Amino acid sequence: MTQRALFAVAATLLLGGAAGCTAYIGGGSTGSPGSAQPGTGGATGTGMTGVGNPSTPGGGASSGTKPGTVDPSNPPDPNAAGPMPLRRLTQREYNNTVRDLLGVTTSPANNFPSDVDLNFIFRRYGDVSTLDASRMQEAAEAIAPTVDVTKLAPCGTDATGETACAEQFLNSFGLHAYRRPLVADETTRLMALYQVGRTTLTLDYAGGIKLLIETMLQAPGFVYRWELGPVTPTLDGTVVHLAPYEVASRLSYFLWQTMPDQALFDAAAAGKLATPEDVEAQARRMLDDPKAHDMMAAFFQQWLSLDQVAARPKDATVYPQFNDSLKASMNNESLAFIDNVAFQGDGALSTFLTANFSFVDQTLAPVYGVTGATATAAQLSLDPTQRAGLLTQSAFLTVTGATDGSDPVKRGRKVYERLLCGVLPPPPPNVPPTAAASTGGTTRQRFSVHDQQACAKACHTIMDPIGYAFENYDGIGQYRTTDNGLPVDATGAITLDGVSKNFKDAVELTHLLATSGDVRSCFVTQWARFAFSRLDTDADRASLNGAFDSFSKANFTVHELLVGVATSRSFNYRSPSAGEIQ
Amino acid sequence: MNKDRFSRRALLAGIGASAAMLPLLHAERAIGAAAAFPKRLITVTWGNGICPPDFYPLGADLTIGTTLAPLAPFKAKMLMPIGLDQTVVLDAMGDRQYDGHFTYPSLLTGTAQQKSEGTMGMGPSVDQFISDAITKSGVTLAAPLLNLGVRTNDGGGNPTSWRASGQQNVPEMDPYHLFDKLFSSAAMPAAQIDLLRVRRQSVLDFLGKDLEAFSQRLGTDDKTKIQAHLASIRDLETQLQQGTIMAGASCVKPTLPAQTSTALDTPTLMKLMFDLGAVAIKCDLTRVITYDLYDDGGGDGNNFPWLGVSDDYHKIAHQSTAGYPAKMKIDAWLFSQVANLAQQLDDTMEAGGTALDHSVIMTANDMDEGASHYVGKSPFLLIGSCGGYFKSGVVRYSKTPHNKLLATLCNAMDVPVTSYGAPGYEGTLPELLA
Repeated sequence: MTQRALFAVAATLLLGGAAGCTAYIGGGSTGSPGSAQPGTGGATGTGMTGVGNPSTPGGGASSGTKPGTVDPSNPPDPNAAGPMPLRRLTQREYNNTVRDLLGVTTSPANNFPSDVDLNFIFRRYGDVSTLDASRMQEAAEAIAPTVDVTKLAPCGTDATGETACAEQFLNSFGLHAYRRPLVADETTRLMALYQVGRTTLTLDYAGGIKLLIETMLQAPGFVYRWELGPVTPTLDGTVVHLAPYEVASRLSYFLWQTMPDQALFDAAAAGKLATPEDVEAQARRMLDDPKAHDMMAAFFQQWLSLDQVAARPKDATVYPQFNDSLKASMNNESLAFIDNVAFQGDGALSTFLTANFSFVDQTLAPVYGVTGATATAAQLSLDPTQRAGLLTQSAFLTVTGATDGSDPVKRGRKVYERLLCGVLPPPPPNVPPTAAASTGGTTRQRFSVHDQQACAKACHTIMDPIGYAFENYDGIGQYRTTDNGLPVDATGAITLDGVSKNFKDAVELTHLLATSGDVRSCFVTQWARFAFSRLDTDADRASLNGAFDSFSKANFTVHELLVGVATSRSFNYRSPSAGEIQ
Repeated sequence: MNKDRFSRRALLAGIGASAAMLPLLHAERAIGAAAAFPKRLITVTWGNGICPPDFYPLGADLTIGTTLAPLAPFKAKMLMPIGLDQTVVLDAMGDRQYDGHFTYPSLLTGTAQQKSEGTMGMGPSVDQFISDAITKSGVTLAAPLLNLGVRTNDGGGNPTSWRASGQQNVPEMDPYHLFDKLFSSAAMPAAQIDLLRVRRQSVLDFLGKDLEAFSQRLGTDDKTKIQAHLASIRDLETQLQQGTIMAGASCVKPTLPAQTSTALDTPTLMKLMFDLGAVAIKCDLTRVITYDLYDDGGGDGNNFPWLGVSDDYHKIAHQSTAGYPAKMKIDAWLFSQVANLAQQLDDTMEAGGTALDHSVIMTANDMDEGASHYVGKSPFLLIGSCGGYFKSGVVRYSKTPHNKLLATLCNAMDVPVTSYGAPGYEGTLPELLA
């Protein structure tokens, strides 16, 4: 079993003042973003230090209220906006950016240290460690020689014109690499480097251009998401209105996970990203672009940890079929399902959570007990009494399953934190181990040991009853009606929208979740976190409410939610950072 | 931040000075000629605790149980300080004695965030401190500090090594990259090495200045991130200046298996990382290494089918005595990796003893008993006397901060200190000395 789950919970919570066992859904603790002192952000994860992260990290909410609800005694400030901490390109963003910038399709960032941030649901890098810097150097040194200079920086044969050609190249390439025009000082220093290349390093013109590319791919203008450049931000009231190139970049890294295209650069240059209408038009255009598919995959896979299938160990004596091809089929299934619902289907949250079809190939078919599958995954109907949406699909059940069976705690916790934005208290000082399956009894009977300890009870009465709903699925998502020779009991109750509701199994539970206000609200919050690459704060409340309205008016479909997030105050404005403006 | 650094470096790296300014870079250092061999520190850390009844000797003799069986050949060179605890963590956590997973950042730093379940080192770790001292003493090494890791579950996690407060030293986990770092320039013509050095120096110069300009407009927190980035650029610069290759009969460049698209299996990967560490020591490419095996979150996502253990490491640790048979199998296997390293060093004869005699390998864990995640006691083990500094056997302590062990390690490595880490835990452990 998984006290690991418990400790991981604790590791993600770090609620300094959360004594006792009070869990909560949706909020109650107001983050003070940007105020974390160096070394107190509490981040873990490779390369993370959490400096500048919101001071209430964790899987749970940090804003003062739930999107879609307003506390009359504390109405949200429509002019407020949350912070925009400096952050690096994630592995995915780096790979996509060098693809769009230079046609590099080798995904060089796959060699970088992990961008998993154990304090945040979505991928996010911390500081540049020496190893990070070394890997970026290596990638840049590998990419630069492959560039076709005759196409990227054409120049005549007249040697005296080469300096002018290099400057011209810097202006165009710099705009795209840094996602904003270079300022004079940058051009001057880059031209000085070019001259060092031509003299000290005895490079020819093409070599000098490649030296510039190698350097710029490691420069802060490329590595960091901060497209304002060395320009003082101007206050609009108490917040900063993002500059046009910053908006362009924010849109593209949110909706495409990559750099802006020419249309976005043109819009930024023409000042056509200043109003919500401008931004909305761009967002709609971008959602129709093929590049939006990668964004949708990124969100859903990270939201529910669906991309962790390959990283989960299973007991080969219990699940001998869990090999690389089955892992790949599970991954393909969730990607195909997400893409289908988001782009061919209605895109409704309820469809993601209750659809009784999926994309199954012949490797995966035995897991679902279906026939008629072929080598290539195709859309198949599943038994609606057994399957309903993402939470009953193989990837989710495998990732949240134990090595040798189900795992009510892990599954319950995932639903509680990821779908309900619930925040669990830290674990008690000591948790009794759960008996191994060989000691007999169903999983549910073995896990009920949690109820015997006072504090554990408070924590586990939240997680376990939700998790028991999934007792009909084993460690790799196969449906079962018995567990360890005894009948499965998947019944339970969950409090949604303030009302306790009974369910008989996971199918009923997911249907309850699919129409719950708590879940819809949390879904908005999670998308906002994904878009902002940080936890939500009190200053984001009006923005999240607006996004919830867009979502609600569109029958809770995801596209309109994304438009709502993109046009929100906190997406286009930011609060100034401490020490930023003297 | 010293803004002059990059300007000065720019001058040094200046026009056409490559060969002249780096006269020693590819001269082979005949370390065999030196009278005294250097001392080395290697730390090996993993999580999930130990099985105390098997691990700890009962009497004055360092009896070897199942867990430590692979190290039996080195018994006469081993020292176990029993009863040290991570007081600094317990104090910060309000005496939560069962937060074992949250001690990785304090193990080698002797610091703790002032909160429960801290995840960040609040100062440099002892490996960083000692390697910095070695560099300052004028010794140039290809890798002044090697931070290595074997973590097969892609989950990240905290390292034991910290450059400074809040600044992680992310471990290298790829043996091919490690090999290149240690040996690639050995295969390169000298002129090519010089050219590459000057090129990289030019780029790093630019990046240093660019980062400083970039940080001007940022807020305080973001500036801190850029300072960490700058420190990393400086590390790359330092590595650029360091010596390349060595001489000596025991220094033999290893051969790696051909790289394929399939990831190496864990036993192969583990052995390679320790083999490369051993050769880095034998070739004097480094004198300080840290190994982080599995993460501080319990190694969730790791099982050991090659040992017949198909269950999850962390889950087994939580099973207490019921899990001991499997747990001891895993732990013994991990100690066998340490034994592989110790053996290679002990097979290397140097003036006055073996390379192991001139080294100290310290193993550590982020908790004591795995089921309870107890941190009121920490299972440290020293192998090698560090040039005759440490004695062998068992020394017992009670309620003694592990900071004193860290301070003692500094002294063993000829970096004199009277304390290490957070204030309030001063002192050394003279009982450990030979």
